[in-house]
Amino acid sequence: MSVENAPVVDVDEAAIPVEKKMYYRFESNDKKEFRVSELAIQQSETLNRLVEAMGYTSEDVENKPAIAIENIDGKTLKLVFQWCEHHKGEAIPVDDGSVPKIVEIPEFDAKLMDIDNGLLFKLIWAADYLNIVQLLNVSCKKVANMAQGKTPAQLRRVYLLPSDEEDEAAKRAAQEAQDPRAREVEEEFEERKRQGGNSFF
Amino acid sequence: MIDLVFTKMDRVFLYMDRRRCTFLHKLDKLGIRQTVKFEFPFDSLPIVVKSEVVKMMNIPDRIKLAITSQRMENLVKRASIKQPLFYAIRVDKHYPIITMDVRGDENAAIADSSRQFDRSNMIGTLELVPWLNRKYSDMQNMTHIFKKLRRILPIKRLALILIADQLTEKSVKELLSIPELTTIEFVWIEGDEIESNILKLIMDWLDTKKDISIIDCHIPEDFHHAKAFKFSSVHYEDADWVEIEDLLTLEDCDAVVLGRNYLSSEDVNRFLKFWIESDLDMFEWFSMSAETLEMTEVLEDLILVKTSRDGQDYSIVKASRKRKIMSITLEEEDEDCLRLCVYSPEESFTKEHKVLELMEQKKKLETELQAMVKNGVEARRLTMEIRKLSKELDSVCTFYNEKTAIIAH
Repeated sequence: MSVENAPVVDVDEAAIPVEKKMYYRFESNDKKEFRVSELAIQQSETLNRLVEAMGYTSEDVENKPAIAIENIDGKTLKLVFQWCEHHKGEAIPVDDGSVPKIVEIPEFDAKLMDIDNGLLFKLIWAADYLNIVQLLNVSCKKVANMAQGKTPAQLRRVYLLPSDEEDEAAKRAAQEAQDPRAREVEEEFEERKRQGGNSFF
Repeated sequence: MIDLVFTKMDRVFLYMDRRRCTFLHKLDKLGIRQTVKFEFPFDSLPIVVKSEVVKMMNIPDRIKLAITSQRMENLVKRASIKQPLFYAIRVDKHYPIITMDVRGDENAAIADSSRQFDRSNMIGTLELVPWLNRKYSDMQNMTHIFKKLRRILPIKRLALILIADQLTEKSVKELLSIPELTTIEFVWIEGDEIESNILKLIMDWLDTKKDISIIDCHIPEDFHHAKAFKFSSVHYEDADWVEIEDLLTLEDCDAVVLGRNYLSSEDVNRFLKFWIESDLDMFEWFSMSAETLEMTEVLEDLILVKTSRDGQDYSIVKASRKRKIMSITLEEEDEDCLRLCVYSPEESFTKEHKVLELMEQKKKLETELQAMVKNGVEARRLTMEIRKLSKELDSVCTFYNEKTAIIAH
């Protein structure tokens, strides 16, 4: 099934399914609404537990407001639900702890993730929050593949990695931001040193 | 109003309030910078996700990521903790090479950047500049890299591979003085020929709990060393130098493999008799090239059971002073090869062990009977017992005499 044909339904764009299966309604933080099948939801441990706890009937699903997912935007959520619909019914992989972790990216997933890195980043966060194990696996594999054959210098550029010095500077800045008095004390100390004082006190 | 709270990995909080599901996380607070096509804000991923990404990287990529900063080094270390690697340090006259293996198909090698290798998994030393010290020698630098690596990617087994014809006594002494190499578990020596003094240095240094293999490398025929057959496993492809007295020093050795050698059938027969009488666990598994051996001479005067399994013939002998049996096989596949395997009777050849015990008892009773001057009650008892043993042997063997029993399958 192609990415384009995956059965995620934007309410504005397609008709409501007539199947008897229950389709839950979710709303992104930019007010995009999606209908997602019960089976597809099972790919997300978080959403699955949520809908189980809600105990909605078919009528509730239609009559009550859509479940709002407030921190994920519509573009990302659409990808997430497309993935869930395509992989619905599939077993959720169990991590056997092996390293390197062997993950193959299926063709559908590869096409789905043929997106800019900013959106890929959001997709990974969403997969992590919604606890969609296999989506997290394939998206992490895509990020791991970006490192292939790169030199350490290239890796720094590709992964936007700060150097030790930059890390240290960021840490100092964070500490100073947390405790402005510490900075004042340090400046006072430096000033006294310049004035030739041996002791701070 | 319903309040349900779920937690997931201590980072995501989900609550439902009047049918509104809310994720409380830091995504909105992260100032995700706009990235160009080939840039990815890896460092802004959750720590658990970053660790997952690292777990999916191959070893060279993980090493290169670890070089980028102390924080990435720590990340790689945490992600790799469950995957100990097989390390090998290969030393020839050039810069040493470190190789790392897992599962056989996944490996990395670290070598001087000037060396030409057609290997995608090779990391040149130029890429490891942050880990190098200009004042160090090549060997010191490689040792330093190895120390770094083993802290990041844990070690399962370390091997030392030496190219014999390119070694000098001085270079070997320098090598063996490196403290990190004391954790070596396996020494592999290859190359045209190794000098006796160099091999002596290595054997003096190597702990007897370690393994040694000398392959495709001539060993001087006058070479002898008290520890040569004391290591955990030994493989001498050129065993022309090995004498029967060397073999008699075997002790607690898991496996012995000897290639071309000058040992005679009489030598091997003496070796087998020595094993039968010895109270030491000399070896578990022994294999030697046997082109010149005559099996009738090898097995001469041994009390044994001839048996077969899966089309292979075995002669089984029993140790006198320990509860062990040994299978003796002459395999004739590529070249004649004598194989000896030691088992406990509970582990294998249980029936054969029973026959050997019966034969041993019968022989003992017959000796006692012969030693009696008069035929009395005791002699009749011994005779009865011998008959009983004979009957028992008849029931399990196809044939038996004083020294040999045959169990046909």
